[in-house]
Amino acid sequence: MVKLFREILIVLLLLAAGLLLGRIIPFPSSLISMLLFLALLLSGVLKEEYFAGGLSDMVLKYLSVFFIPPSMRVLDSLALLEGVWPRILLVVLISNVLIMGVTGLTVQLLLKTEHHDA
Amino acid sequence: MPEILTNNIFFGIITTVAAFALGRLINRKTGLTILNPFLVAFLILMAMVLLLDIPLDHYMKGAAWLEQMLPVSIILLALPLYRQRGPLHFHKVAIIAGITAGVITNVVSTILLCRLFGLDDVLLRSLIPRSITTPLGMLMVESLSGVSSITMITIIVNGLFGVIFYTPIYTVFRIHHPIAQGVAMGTTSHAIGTGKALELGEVIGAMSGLAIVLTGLITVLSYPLINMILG
Repeated sequence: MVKLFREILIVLLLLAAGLLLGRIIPFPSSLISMLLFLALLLSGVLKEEYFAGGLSDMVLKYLSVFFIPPSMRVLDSLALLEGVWPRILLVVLISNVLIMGVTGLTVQLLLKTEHHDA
Repeated sequence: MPEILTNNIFFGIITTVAAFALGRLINRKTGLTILNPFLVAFLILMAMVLLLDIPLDHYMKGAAWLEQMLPVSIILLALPLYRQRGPLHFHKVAIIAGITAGVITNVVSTILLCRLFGLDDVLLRSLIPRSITTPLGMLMVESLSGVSSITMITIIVNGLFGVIFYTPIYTVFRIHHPIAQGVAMGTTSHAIGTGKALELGEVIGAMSGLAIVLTGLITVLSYPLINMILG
């Protein structure tokens, strides 16, 4: 029970801190909260055990359920897609081939130079 | 469908959660990565709304509550990122450079291809955040003033893309190293691709998982620059 409340409290405080800092830093507040959370974990102020197997992990596990409603809103934007969706699909396909290829090749090339150094 | 059943705050929440639970069940029973719970739930709900002629406003009355979790889900992404700092440590330069190259490729090729195929600015802005995890994609499309529902759907398309096309792409580009294969998968196809990557091997899976939040973070951090380029 203590663990659950601690988890919720930490997340709420992070949200509040993000909102406050967001007034100074021109970045989305939730992103500031996330980076702050990461910094606190890395510096050891917050322990990973506080969250392991708790509510946070449950939310992370079922994360995609929260993004079904915004996807359903596409029914409001069908006019935007009419007639152009085959072209959208084509753009996405070609661009994805390039993303996957370039990423893989860059990593592979740099790994090889790493080995030569060693 | 009588209005009293649909025009309330419970309808959207209950149907969304039920559809997602069914999606997970179908995903596990069939063992097919491509039948992703998110995709299955989306298709079920679409069929329901269209076939039963339910106004989207009714569905959204309750479903909008689920959307309120966006900031929380973004904060929590720090956890997987923190947990994966181990594997990142050894090949930091190669992995981060590879992901950055992938993010740049995404932005540049999406802009050029949209111009080439005559797709307007709103669509372009909606397509850029598609290779990242849904919470960060949602955040980014808002920062870019695109249409979030289009981003959400192309995020699913990107996930499925990696699952379907990874073999020919690894072959054509001669990507053999498991670390390179994993990072390429995660950078293109986020969590859905990682599901497939985990089946392919432990290293590929771990690297793909690591790439999910890193790609999202690098992409999101670049939004002021993209806004500047798009004017």
